[in-house]
Amino acid sequence: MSGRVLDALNLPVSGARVFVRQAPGPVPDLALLTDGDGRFTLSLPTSGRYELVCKSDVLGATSITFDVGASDTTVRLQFSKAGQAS
Amino acid sequence: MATSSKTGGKLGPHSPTSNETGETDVVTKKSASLPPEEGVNPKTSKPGAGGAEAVAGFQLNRELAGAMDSVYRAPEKTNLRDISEASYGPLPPRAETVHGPDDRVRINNTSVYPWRVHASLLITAADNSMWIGTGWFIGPRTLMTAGHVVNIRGSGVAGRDGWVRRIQVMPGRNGASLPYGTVTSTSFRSVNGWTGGNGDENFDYGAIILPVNTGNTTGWLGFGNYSDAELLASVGNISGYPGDKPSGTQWYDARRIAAVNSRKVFYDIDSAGGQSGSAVYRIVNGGRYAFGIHAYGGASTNSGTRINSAVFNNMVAWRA
Repeated sequence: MSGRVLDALNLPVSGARVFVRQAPGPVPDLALLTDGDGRFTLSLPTSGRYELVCKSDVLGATSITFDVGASDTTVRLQFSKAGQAS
Repeated sequence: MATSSKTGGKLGPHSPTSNETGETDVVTKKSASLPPEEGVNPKTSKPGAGGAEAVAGFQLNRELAGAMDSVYRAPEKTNLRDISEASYGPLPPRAETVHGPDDRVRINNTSVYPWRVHASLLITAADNSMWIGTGWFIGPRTLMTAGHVVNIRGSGVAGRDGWVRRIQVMPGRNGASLPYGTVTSTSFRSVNGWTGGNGDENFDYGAIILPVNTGNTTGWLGFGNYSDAELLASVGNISGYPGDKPSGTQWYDARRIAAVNSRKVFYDIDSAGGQSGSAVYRIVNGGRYAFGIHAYGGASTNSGTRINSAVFNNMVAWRA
């Protein structure tokens, strides 16, 4: 699955921490940092419902819950504040 | 980068592999445990009672710890990808890495032993994606971590799988403060069971070799290969660098071990993304001894790779 992290002004947020909080099975306990364009790509091991969290020291936290199936999933995470991750 | 092994013959799942061509690690037979070392001017934080650390604001949850003994019992299983379902029946609707109330407490005195042996990791993967994880010293130049920290498997993302490019190691990091600086490593170890295919959870462990002897200053944890009975009677301690807390801050939790099998340990110690690679350790006569390497958030328990005899022997061989 892939995604993009934006601030309240729809500007990309780089360096934000993205990780799985809830999953249908065991997942590696790593966190990914968004790239310079706020984008990220993750591999989720099984189909089912996931909750993805994005955390920034400056902007706070945002999350999204979605179902992963056979086709590629694209999500958008948006902070309620404007600015950069740190 | 290249993968090499020195076994020469058929590779077993614990056959060591490295990103450095020509690496000649050997699996050796050593004693069941190696002692910790507290480093230079350690100002050691003394352990608390009951097998947990003495940390302000932390209280060992004995009720949950005791109750879990009768609930969880993991079976032997070669492929543990669905171990929670195999062990505990159908999975609940969601898996969480923090189960119930979040018991983690922040470590503020990260420049004293044992907290300074834990390192915040900034990982650059083969595709230049950036990740955060945790590692811990077992010797002057060697940190243990999860296999998926040093070698990414089965990502499905073009150019991502394989040995990572580099890892920035920040021992005892406390937010923006780096009491022991930062050291970049490009030298990694793991085993064929992890690096040889899509990555088998049973063999998810690896090591980072530093170019300098930072561990002589920070000290390191001991580690050992313990019996099922010893582990099931133990409190597991984990301290690491989770992504859900302020950047680069160290957080600690402890709870009784819920279940073990020959290759994994299961526990309800709270964690979050970024804590992969943390030590799971017990306190014996005041010394800290790792018996697992935290790797996964699970359906109802989290889990790590058990330091069994084969893992122990590789750790001894990798210890520099």
